[in-house]
Amino acid sequence: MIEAVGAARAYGGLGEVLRSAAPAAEPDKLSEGARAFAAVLDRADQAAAGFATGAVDAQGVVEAMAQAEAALQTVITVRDRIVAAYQEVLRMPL
Amino acid sequence: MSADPILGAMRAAGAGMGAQQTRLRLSAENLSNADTPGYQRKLVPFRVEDGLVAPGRTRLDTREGERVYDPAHPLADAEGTVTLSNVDMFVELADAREAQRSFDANLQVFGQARRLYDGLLSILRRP
Repeated sequence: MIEAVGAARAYGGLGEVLRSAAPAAEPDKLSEGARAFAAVLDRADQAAAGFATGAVDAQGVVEAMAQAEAALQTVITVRDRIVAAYQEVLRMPL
Repeated sequence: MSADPILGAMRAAGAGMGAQQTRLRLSAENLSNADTPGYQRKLVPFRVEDGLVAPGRTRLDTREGERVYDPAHPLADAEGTVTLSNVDMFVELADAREAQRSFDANLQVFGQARRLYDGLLSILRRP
């Protein structure tokens, strides 16, 4: 579970990069999605930290981690499909 | 994401689990104080909040406890009777068992919602 939280923080960093790259004046769908994804991972991070200090109960931690896992799996799957489609296009004979 | 039915199912199951945990905690408190003189057992009604269950205000059961004649007891009154708690051990045990069953049911629903979501993603994941 600790490794999953570490991976979650890494993807949260990706959210930060996306947030800073897009200009603040025009919130488009991609940056909104990245921000929501980063928020889900932040909640799991805080839940895990709160559980260590005793502020959050076990059920809160499990729920937050389950939602973070689901969001992570979604993003990974969608990214894999996009990359696979890109590679298929690259493989087309000229 | 808040309109997603699968996440709504997970949130409802989570609220159910939390409510049953509260119920189990109150049963445990009542049981541990079954021999305390003057103790009134705690009850918690559940209410609906935006479709999710939420524990309401904890209130006390105002029934009189059993009066026992025991002049040697330090809390005996003028006639030598002591009012024990109004906790019935079998009622509390049955309540605790019901809380556990409801918790297990909500946990199953939570797991099923997760499996639904994983099944959805696995459609995209073919190699």
